[in-house]
Amino acid sequence: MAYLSMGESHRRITDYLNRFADAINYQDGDSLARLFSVSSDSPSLLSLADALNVFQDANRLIKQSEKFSQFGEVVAPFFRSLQCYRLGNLVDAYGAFEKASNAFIQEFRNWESGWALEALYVIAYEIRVLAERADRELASNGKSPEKLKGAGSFLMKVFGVLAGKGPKRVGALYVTCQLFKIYFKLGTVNLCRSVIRSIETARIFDFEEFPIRDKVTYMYYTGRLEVLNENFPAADQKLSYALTHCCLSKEANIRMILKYLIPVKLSIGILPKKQLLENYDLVEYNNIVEALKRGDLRLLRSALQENEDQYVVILFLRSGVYLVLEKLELQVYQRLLKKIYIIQKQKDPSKAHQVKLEVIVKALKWLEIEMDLDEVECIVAILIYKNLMKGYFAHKSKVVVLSKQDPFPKLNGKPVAS
Amino acid sequence: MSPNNAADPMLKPTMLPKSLRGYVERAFGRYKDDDAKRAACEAYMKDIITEARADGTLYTRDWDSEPLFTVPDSLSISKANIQTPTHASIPNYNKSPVRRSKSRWEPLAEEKMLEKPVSASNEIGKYGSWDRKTFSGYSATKDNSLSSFRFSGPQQRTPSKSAQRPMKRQRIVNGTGLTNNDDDASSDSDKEQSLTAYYSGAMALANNPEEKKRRESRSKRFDRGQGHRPDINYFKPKNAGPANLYTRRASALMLSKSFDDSANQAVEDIDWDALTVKGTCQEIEKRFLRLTSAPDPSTVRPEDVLEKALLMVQNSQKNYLYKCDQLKSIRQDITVQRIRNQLTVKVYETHARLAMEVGDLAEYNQCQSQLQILYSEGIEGCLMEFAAYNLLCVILHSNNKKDLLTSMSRLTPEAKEDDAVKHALAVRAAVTSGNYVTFFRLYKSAPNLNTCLMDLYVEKMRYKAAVCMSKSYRPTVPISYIAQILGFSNAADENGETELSGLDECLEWLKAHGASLITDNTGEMQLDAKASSSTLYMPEPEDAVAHGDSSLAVNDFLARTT
Repeated sequence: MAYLSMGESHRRITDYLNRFADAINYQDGDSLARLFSVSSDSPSLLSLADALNVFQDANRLIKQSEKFSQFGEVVAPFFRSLQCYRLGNLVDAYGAFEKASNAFIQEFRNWESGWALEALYVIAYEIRVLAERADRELASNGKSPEKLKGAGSFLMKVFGVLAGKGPKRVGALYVTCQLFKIYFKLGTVNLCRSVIRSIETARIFDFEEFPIRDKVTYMYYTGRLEVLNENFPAADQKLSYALTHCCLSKEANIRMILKYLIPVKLSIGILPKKQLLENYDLVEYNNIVEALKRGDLRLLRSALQENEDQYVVILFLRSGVYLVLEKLELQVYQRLLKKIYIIQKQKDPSKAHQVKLEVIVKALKWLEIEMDLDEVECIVAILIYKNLMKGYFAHKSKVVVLSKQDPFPKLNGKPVAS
Repeated sequence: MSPNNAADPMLKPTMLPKSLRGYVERAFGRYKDDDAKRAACEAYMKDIITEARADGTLYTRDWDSEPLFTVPDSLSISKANIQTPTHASIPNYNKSPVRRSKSRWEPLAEEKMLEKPVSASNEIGKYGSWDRKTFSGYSATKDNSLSSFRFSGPQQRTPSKSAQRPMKRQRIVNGTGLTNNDDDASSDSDKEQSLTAYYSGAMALANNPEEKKRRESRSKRFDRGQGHRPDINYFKPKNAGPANLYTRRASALMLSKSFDDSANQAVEDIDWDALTVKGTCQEIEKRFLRLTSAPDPSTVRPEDVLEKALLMVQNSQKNYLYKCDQLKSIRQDITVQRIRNQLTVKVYETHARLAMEVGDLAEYNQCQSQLQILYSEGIEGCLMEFAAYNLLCVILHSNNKKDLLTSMSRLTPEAKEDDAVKHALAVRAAVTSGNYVTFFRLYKSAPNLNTCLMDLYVEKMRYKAAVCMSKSYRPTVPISYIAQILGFSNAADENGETELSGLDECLEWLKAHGASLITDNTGEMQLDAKASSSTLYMPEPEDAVAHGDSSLAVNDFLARTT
C-alpha cells in the first residue's frame, strides 16, 4: 500500500464528511446510501478506512465544524466501524455499526418523507451481513455467536419505526425480508410469525404498495415456511407468485424459487419437464420425477438415501424439502398399483379390478424390495384411506377390490390427505 | 422506541399455558405506568418464551414459581436485607407463589422502591446472576434443580483475590438503548442492574471500598453482576440452562474480553482452583438439600464416594422418587466440585434413563441437555444411545419439523450405522408415513429404552391405524389380526395364556375407543369396519391429574419400594 500522508488522510475524511452532510441537507437518499455500504468493499470506503486508520483522530475533525458535528452521533461510531472492518476485526465493526445505526434511526424518525429509505435499506442489509461475519469470527474463536440474534432484535426495532402511517411504511417489507434471512439463518423460523402477522393484518400496510422486488422476496420466504408446515396449496400459491413476478434475468433467484416449488408441485401431482430441470440445474430432482412416472419405489428410495449422493440429501434435509419428497412415496405406490391394474386389465378385463396382495408383493420383489404380506396390506389400507385408491380390502381373501370407476383418482392439484 | 403496534402473537393468551399467562400478567403488571419498561418487558418475555419453546420446557416449566425479572432502571435500588448480614432465606420446597418476601435472590419489583442512599448495600452481586434461572434458586421446580449450583463459582472469596479497582460502569437508560458513559463509579454502582448478567460467567466484581468491606465481613459469595452492554440486552445466551456454569466459565475469560477492559482483570485474577470445594463427606446415601450458601466441604462427597453412591442408586430397589432425590444430590456434589468427566456423564445418563422409564420428561430433558454439552466436550459416554433418544423425542414428542430436519442432517455417518440410531430413524419414517405395521414391529424390537419413548406415541398410532382400517377394510377384520399387528400380543410366539391376554387387551382398547364389534359364525370376534368408521373416537385421558403424574401420592414415600 502506498504511503498515505496525514494531509491526504485529512482530505479524505473531510471529503466524506462533506458528502455526508450534503446528502442529508439536500435529501439525497441515494448518495447517503452509498456512504454506508461497508461490506461492499467499495474503493472509496476502503480508502476512507485507510485514511481513518492513519489519521486516528477523526472525532476532532467531526467536532470542528457544526456542519459535521450535528451528525457526530452517527458518523463517529461509523468511522470506528469502518476502521475495525478494515483491520479485519468484525466483531467490533459490527458493534460500532449497530451504534451508528441506532443513532441514524433516531435522526431518520424525525425526517418527514421517505427520502432516506435507500440509506435505511443499506443499513439494514449491512447490519445483517456484518453480524453474520462477526458471528463467524466469534465462532472461530470458540466464543458464542450472538451478534446475528442481536441484529434481529435491532431490525425489529427498525420495523417498528417504519410501521406507521407515513410514506416510510413502504420500507417495512424490505426490513421484513432481512429479518426473514436472519431467522432462517439462525434456524429460529418461528420468529417469522410475528412480523408476518404485522405485515398481513395491520391496516397501515397495503401489500400492493410495496416494491415488487420486496414482494417477490417476501413470497419466497413465506412460501418456504408453508413448505415447512406442509401447507402445500398455500406454498404453491406463494412460490408461484414469486416465480411469476421474478425478473427473468435473475436466474439464480428463479432457481432458488424452483428448488422449493418443484417438490410442492410434485406433491400435488404436477411434474416438471426435464428441460426445466436442466435449464436451472436442478437435476437432483430427475430421479424423483422418474420414480413418480414409473412407480419405481426403489428409485425413489435410493434418491433419498445417501449412498447415492450424500451432499444432495443433506441439502434436502437442511432446506426442509426432504420430508416433502419422502411423502411422495405413497404416490409412487399408487403408480405401481395402477400399472399392475392396467396389465391385468389387458389380460382379463373382467377380473382386473381385483388385485391379489401376493401379486403386489411379487411386483415389489422385482424392484428388489422385500415386503411381507402384512406390510403390503398396511400400505394398501393407507392408500385407500388417503383416497389414492378407490375400493376396499378384503382381509380374508387378501384381495384389493377396486372400484370399477376411476379406481386411481388423480390428485388434481390437491395434496395427498394427511 | 415505540413498541410494535400489532399485538404480538407469541404473547397471545390462547397460545400459552395457563401458568405462563399468569407469569406474563405478573411481569407486565409491575410496569403499568411505564411504557418504555413495558416494551422492554415485552421483548424480554418474547425471549423467554422463545427459549422455552426451543428447549421444550414451555409446558413443563413451573411458571407459577418462576421468579420475575427486573427491567433495569436507573432508579431502582437493589432491594435486599440492607445492612444486616442475614442468612439467605430458607429454600422453599413448596411451590410458593412468586411474591416471596425477603428472598434476597429476587428483585422485588413489586414493592415500592426504596430511595436508599448511594452507599447502601451494593447488592450488585445479587442481580449478578448471569442466568435468568438464578432467580428461581428457591423454587422447587425440577427444571431448576441445578440453578443453585452456579453459586459455586467465586465462593470463598479471599480478600486478596478480589480486584480492587472501581469499575467504569455504563448506565442502562430507560429502554432506548442509549447509554451515557458515566465515570463516576460509586454513584453508578448501586444503580447498576445487570439483567445483562447473562454473560457474566466471567464475574466482574463490585468495586467500591465500602462494598468490599461488607463483602469480606459477610463472607458470602454472590455472583457478581458484570456486563453492561451498551444496548439493552435481553438475549439469552445459547445454552442458558441451569448448569451452564462450566461451559461459560471455561470461556468466561475470553468472553469477558468483549466487555469493558476494567472488568477483565477481575476475572482473570480469580484463582479458580482455590475456590473449588473439595469435599470430604463419606456418606454414600445423602438426600438432596438445595444449596443456600457456600457448601461446607464436610457435606460434599468426593469423587470416589460419589462413584459408590451412583452404584448404590443403580442397584437400589427403591422407587423413582428416592433415586431421583439421591441423584440430584450426587449431581449437586459433582457440580460444586466442578467434576466434569465420565462419572458426570454416567450420573446424567443414569438419571436420564430412570426419568424416561417413569415418564418424567422434564428431568429427562434436563439430563439430555447436560449430556449433549458433556459429549460435545469430548467426554465419553453412550452417545449413540442418547442420540437415538434425542431423535425419538423430537419425532414423537415435539413434532417440530425444523428440529427434526436439523437433527437428521447433523447425524454423522458413524451414527447412522448405529443400531439404536437406525431404529430411531426407522421409527421416524414409520410415523411420518403412518405405517402402523412397521411401527409396532419396531416397537417389539426396540433397543435400549427406545420403547419408553415410543410409548408416548403408541396410543396415537393405534388410533390412527384403527381409523385407517375402518375405512379401507370391508366387511370385517379379525380382532386377533388387529391384536397382532398393533402390538397387543405379548412376547411374540408364546401360545396359550400370553396370547389370550394380548387379545383381551386389544378388545378392551377397541371397546374403549368406540369400535363396533361383531362375532362371526365361527365364534371369532371381528371388527365391523363400516360401522366403526363412524363410531370410533379418541377418549379423554382418565387419569389426568393436576400435577401430571397420577402415580405420585402426596405422602412421603421416598423409601417405599414399589
